[in-house]
Amino acid sequence: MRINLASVLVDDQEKALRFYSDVLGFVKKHDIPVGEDRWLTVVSPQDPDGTELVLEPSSHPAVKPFKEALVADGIPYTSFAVDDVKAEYERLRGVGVRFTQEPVDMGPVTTAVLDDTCGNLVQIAHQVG
Amino acid sequence: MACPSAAILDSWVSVLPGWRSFPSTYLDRQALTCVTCSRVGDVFKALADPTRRIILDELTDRNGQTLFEICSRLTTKHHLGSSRQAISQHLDVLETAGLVETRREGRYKFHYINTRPLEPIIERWLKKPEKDGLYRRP
Repeated sequence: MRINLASVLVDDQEKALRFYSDVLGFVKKHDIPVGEDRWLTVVSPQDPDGTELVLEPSSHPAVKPFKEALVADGIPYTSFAVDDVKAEYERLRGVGVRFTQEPVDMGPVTTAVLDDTCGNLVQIAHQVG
Repeated sequence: MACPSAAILDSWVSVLPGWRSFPSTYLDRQALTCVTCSRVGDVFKALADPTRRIILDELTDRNGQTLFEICSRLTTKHHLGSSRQAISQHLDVLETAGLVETRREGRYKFHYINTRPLEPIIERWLKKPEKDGLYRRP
């Protein structure tokens, strides 16, 4: 058994595809109609056969209050590994991304937290040393 | 009813003229000092805890943090084992004392340090009693 999927619950699948590909730099892998929604996944260009990120709809009634509570407390839904958090932060700020936490040296990791425009906060991190 | 700073206030409250005409029972004096210094008591109580002092250090390092950032800093930089719930309760105590303000900005909540409640405490101990006639000892 292998872990092949990660997921994020997004307010709008088309808007999420734009953000996760055009802004974050992931690449669309699968886009299959499922009823009113899509089975929509992206992968990292650095790992095209690796773990896919499913951009899931947020239609279940439990999802909205759950997401709002996490965002209010600044809690990211998931985290992505980058080579250099500070460089990534500068690049993303340059294209208008909103951060709730600037890069902070947390000891073994450096992290920053950004708004994915689809109802979630997402962390980026690199390990020090 | 115990007031943490009653003992501190007592030393200079008792030299005010006309003090002896106030009710002199112990409980009444406690009640009077508690009403006047309840805010100061909150500040002392807030500062007494080492985790809360670290929270104030971190907000001084960078003001305007989410609960998540505060928790991350305490866990990874300071190796504190406090849960998010416990840290949230510490922030409530700091807020009651006026040392932390929580502001809602859109969908996010940020915590800010407010050092104004510390000013009367510092002023009290830095003021020289001899300079001010009102506090001249009999």
